Amino acid sequence: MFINPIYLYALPLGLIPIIIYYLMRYRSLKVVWGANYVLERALERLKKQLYLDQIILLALRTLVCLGLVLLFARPVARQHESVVSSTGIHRVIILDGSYSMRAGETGNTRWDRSTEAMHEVVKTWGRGEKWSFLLIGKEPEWIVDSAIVETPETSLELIRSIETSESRASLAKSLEAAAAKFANESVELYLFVDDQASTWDGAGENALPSAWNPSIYWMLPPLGNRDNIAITSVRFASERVLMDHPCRLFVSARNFGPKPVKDAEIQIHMDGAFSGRETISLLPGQEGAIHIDLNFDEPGPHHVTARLKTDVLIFDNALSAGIQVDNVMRVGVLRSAQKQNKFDSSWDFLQIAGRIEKMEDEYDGPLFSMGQIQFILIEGMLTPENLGQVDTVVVDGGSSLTPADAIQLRDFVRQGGGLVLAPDETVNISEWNELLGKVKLLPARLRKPVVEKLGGTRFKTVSRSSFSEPSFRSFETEEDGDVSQAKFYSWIEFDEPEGGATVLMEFADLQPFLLRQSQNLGRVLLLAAGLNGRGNSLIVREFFFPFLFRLFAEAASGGIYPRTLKPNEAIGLRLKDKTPRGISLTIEGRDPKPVTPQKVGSEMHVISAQGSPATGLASFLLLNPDGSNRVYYGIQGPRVDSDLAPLPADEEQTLTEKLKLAKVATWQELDNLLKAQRSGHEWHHWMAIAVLACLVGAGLMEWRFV
Amino acid sequence: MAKTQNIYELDEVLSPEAKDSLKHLELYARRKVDGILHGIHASRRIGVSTDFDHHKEYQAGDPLKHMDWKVSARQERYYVKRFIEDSSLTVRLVVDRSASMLQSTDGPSKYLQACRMAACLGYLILKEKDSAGLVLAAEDETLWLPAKSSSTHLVTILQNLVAKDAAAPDGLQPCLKAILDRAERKGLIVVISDLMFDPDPVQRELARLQAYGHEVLILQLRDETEEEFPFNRWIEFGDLENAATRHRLDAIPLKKIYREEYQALIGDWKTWSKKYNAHFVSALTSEHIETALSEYLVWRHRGHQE
Repeated sequence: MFINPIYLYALPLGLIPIIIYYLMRYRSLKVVWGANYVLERALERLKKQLYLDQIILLALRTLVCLGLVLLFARPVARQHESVVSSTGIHRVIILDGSYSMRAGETGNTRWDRSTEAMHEVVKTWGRGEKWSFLLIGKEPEWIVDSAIVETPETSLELIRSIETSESRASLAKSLEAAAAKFANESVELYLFVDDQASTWDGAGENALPSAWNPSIYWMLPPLGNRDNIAITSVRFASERVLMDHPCRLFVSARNFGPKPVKDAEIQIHMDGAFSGRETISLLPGQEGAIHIDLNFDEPGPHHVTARLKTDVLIFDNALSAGIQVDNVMRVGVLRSAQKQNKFDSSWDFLQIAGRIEKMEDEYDGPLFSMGQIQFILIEGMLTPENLGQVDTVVVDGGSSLTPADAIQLRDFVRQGGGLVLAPDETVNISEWNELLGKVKLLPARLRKPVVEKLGGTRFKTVSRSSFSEPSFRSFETEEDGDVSQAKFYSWIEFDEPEGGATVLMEFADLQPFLLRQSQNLGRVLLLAAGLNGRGNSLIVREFFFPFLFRLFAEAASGGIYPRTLKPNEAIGLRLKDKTPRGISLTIEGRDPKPVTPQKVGSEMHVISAQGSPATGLASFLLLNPDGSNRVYYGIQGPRVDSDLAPLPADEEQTLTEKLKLAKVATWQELDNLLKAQRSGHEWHHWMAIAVLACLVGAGLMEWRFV
Repeated sequence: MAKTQNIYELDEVLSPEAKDSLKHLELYARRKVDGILHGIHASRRIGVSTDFDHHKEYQAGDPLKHMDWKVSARQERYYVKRFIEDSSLTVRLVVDRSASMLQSTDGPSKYLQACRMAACLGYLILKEKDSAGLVLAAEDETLWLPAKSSSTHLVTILQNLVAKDAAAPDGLQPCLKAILDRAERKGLIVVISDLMFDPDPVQRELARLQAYGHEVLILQLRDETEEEFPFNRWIEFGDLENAATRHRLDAIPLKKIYREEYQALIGDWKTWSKKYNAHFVSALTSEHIETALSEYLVWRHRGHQE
């Protein structure tokens, strides 16, 4: 083996002395000679010796040339893998398992090159060598701990199936872990980590044990381009929508690179088919969003993927979201036959709704289609049966509730039902606070109603900039349903929202207008105004109906398990119909696993508590007698490792000096460095002595002739 | 008869400057050669009468029995008689004309320097009225020029020296053997060569010549390149004497051994010369011939006096 094998191409230079010999011989000077007698006497004396001397001298000169070439090539004796090693050095590999290692061209990412080099390093170790392998991701994990090498193949088998994780890596923790474990051993550390500033954060700050002086080799494959944009979130305005109703999809992207990006294209795929594109321009470090309105013309489970064009890190270029599309939404309105006056508000509401149904044909656009919303009047006591017929229940301010009603509503919400509370000026505040607060169905306790003169100058409006949730973000523009145009002459003031409650919309004076609280599977929406048409025009003007429909849909979304999740969040599904013959959970990139439904209340649910460990598209496959279908879930992890910004040069220099790093870019460089630094195996000095000896020998021979 | 083209000019072999420098040597040579040779010849030829040759002014050490009293009385100076056999010395200049003598290094070749040496010696010898003969030794192409004492003989010697360049394979050993076989008059054998051959056969012949009574003087000419072997790369050596012989080799490992062998060869000749009482002089082709000769002649004189 040679450290600089490129010099071996110069071996033919060893023929130079032979060429010169024959050139000189056949281009000899012709001389006429008178003292031939003396010449022949001298030749006779020297003949045999002369021939031998010529051969020896030629051989010495050739050996000098060859020796010089080998000297520059630096031969190294390497141990065969089957030879028992007695170096006593513990070899530790630290591999960066964060997803930033996937940066690079397909098939030639830093991960590919690092793992390939890692395999080559392992192959060079002899039987009996001690080694360990630390995979750094969210936390350092010892994949191999002080194992003894038998054969390279068995060693490689232990680390063959490792993958990157969706996390950031911390080299500082890894070095501490290695130092703590092997403080008393002679160690060679092989770092296969990238040069992300976040990875090296703190690496030089914590002092390693002074007695611990490992040889540290850092292999860093070069990366030409660090401009990285990532999709950071894909959210539907609501995860449960009506068929043919436009559903707004919000896609956020962030520019992690150092240069501005102009018109980066984001493609939208619905159920795997291309459906549209938008462009986005971002400054360095900026996160921006685009939205696109999608229509689903078939009911059932769907998924959408937002995908960026390929850049240096493909891993974070796409995210998916699942959605449930219903062909009908059932909205229940409470009405007590005995309490007519108190249910005037709902009656007015239902009247308006009926009027709109008749007007359905006059309008274009699905927003005004009432055919997919069924209003069901719930009279009398609330029971699981009558509540089971609806997706969302609207409780207006005039409704009088009993404790039993409250409990039924609680159970209804817990099982996924939606509850819209619309207290008006006639609401019984103490009753509501008592009954609904007790069963935790109040996102905020009611304080007092405020009534101003209708049509007067004192009224409230809803702030346009207060739409924190994507659910209602579509009303930021002057589209149908822009509730900021509504005037509220009466409203309810609340106490501080309860823990777990979210303010979805605010009045212009920052007082809450719309709150949401989840209760198990369901959710409660609390409006600060009634839906009676008296204190506001929400149910009077058709213009605001899209807002109302969104309100009902938002509440009804509690009836399904979330279709957009974070990694490791539980994935769930309600089986409303018959239990399928078989159910399996498929997480992107993995084999499907069967799951067993479990009874939750009166329903069968399928729940994977561990969820998906990584970003991607997960799905339940339901095998029914009449066919199979999938329910999709978009798993969206945080982009914690998308910033590929490297260590500043001065910091890298400081770390190199502090940790005595030997940095290489390729496996070949690492191999040459290892060979050069393994003392006792190199023949370099012997070659120098041999060349010197040949030179001296040739010189002595020539001197002998003179 | 067609005139052949000389490889060198006569002046190139024996230049007026060389003659001029030799003029100083003449006195030395004549006196010392006379003194030395005369002494040698006298110790060998005691009691033998010879023909009168010429008079010379008396010098201390000349035998009084040879005093010519009549001439001395007439001239009011003392003169002694010189007889032919007392004073004549037959010198045979044996010049190696093998192709290896063509080697040169940024200057004159070994053969040219050999020719100059032979010319200088011939000039000196004939000036002294001694006899000088020339042998240009080469395999199958040896040139024999008999020894004469006339002054015009020098021209003949020079002409033969410059007539042809070194070319043939080595033929020194058979040439020396032939000198012995001819039973020629005893004298001085001067071998001028680079000695780049197996020394044993030549040394055997020279030893026989010495035993016969000849005096042997070996003048070696060395080429700087051949001596230093300054090569640091692959060389293909081509033999000057045999074009088919080639050696391709890396000179660096060979250098040290070659130099040792080269010095061993010279050492071998020195050892032999010392053993057989011959004279051995070695000079680089880059040195002046006159300097090499004068050093030898001075050394010769001192050696006789001691």
